[in-house]
Amino acid sequence: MDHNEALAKLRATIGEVTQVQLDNTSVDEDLVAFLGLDSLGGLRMLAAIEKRFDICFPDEELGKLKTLDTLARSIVVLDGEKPL
Amino acid sequence: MKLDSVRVLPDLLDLAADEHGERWAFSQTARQSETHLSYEDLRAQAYRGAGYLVDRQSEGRELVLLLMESCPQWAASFFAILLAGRIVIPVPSNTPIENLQVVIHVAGVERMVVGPVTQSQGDALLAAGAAIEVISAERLFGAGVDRGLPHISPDDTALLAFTSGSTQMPRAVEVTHLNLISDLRSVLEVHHVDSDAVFLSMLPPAHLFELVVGMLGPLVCGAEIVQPTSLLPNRILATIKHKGVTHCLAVPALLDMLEKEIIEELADVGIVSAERRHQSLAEIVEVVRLRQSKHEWDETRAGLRQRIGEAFSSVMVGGAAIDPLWTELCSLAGLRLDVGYGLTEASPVVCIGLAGECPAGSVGKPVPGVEVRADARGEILVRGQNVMKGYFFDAESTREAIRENWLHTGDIGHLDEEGNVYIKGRVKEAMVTADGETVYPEDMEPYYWDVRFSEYCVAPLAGPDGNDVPVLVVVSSDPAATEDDLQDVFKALRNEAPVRYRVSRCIRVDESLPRTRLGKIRRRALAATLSTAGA
Repeated sequence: MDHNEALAKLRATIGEVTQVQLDNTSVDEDLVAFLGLDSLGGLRMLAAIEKRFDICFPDEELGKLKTLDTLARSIVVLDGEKPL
Repeated sequence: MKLDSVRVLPDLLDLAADEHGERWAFSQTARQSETHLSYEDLRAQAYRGAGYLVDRQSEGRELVLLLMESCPQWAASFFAILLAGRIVIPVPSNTPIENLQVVIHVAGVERMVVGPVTQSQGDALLAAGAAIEVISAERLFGAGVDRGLPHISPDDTALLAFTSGSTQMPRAVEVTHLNLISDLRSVLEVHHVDSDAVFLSMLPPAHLFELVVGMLGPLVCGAEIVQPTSLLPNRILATIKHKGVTHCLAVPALLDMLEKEIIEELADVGIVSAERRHQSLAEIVEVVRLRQSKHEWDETRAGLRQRIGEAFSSVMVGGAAIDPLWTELCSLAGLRLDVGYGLTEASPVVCIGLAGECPAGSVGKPVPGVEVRADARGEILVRGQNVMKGYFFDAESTREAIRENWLHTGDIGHLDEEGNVYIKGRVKEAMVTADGETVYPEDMEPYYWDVRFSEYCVAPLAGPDGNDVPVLVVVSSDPAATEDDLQDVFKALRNEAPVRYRVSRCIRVDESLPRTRLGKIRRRALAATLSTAGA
């Protein structure tokens, strides 16, 4: 999966969870602030992304996954580590 | 009762280590690894840490800040500080630097203990000029110094719990060894668990509810305490299943996960529609009740147990009464939802309502040894050995809070004929959010000042679970300003505010905010008006 593919899938996944379309949202926007999520909403969003992409973000990275860009970068790496 | 021999908190550590030795006291689950700390190793670490601290000279009874993420070393550090005759100030690991600076200043802290994750906050404090010694857990436990330890008395202060924020002087609740042990003894009389119990710890251990019910209680009982490194709902569920978790104190992420799993299972077997929004919780419970009476429920219950963890048996929800329908649904799935009510000033548990015994809307009965009554204006008063020593260096607030040995909780409520306690609201302005965190509008409002607001305040709208939802209410300086203009101002202010002070919404009103004769804003009255108007 490449970065753009991850971004497109991310926008769709987050859109489903939060009911907010992110088509025109900057990839560097702080998603929690932009979407007005509380702490639970942020956790729920990350859980949905893990499920949709069948990945598990490293614990130490969770606090850094705040934008579409950082999320997509992490997804591309984790997807590449999956066994073929 | 085993606790009869426990006079001070370190006795509890010795009792547990003597009895449970090599059993695991703590397990920490990360993504692909698990670490453990046995009861004996917990004691050994605590005594080594105490030796290190005793070696550091201090004048009087030193206060040591414990700023550490939830991990096995948290408990070892906690006991080390107490064994050394020091007073511990436990603070959540995500406490902002500016709040830490206030705590250090107010309490005169000279030393703090940090973990691997919070080391950076310690470094930041030093860089900001704090005159403190930052001690890593590694250094604390690595010393191996065997020193004579000081005598500790039950009436000595064990910890200071800070209850408020950064912009005003925070209040520190002074809690003695006797206060905590007394409350622990009361809780265990009602809520004792077996040594094969597995507790999932998700609240910060600096939170007194978690410390007493989620840590000290399980340690006395010889249970294993599991500390996940992530609170993602999917991972909580995986940990519950993998570790055979039996008990935990609720956090919103857990209740969210439980609801999702239970409803999904019921949808899978056709009991509720796939689109749950077409059915209310009342309708779902009604269908489940019918199924149960037709003996069709056993298979469904088995499916539910598989989803939420076969061993998972009880969750204690702190603070507010639980929706009885939700309690019933969980009960039908074989999961007990108990409720615990308390406050830091009562060390902290006052009432426990056990599922099946606790009437709807109640927070249960006072735990043994704790008396509760409502005064003439309906304020809930508490008396017992669990009531705090007082507010640290604040005799006036202490006199106001504890009168003739009764602690004035600031909560409004009543008791029924059976002695069940019902909480209806708060006398004070304190707001308890859905996260279980207590926040004060006075602490939040300074972050929302802007010249474009002629008046503004933070008011508590009623949340769906009886919690408060803080919202910003503003009157525009310019009547011609558009809604979008005000929302833009609000968003910019909110982004600059500390995370715990970010309110979810901004509501514009056109009339002046309601005030008392002394000019204070009547926030609760305003919130009630807004709720009536459909805000």
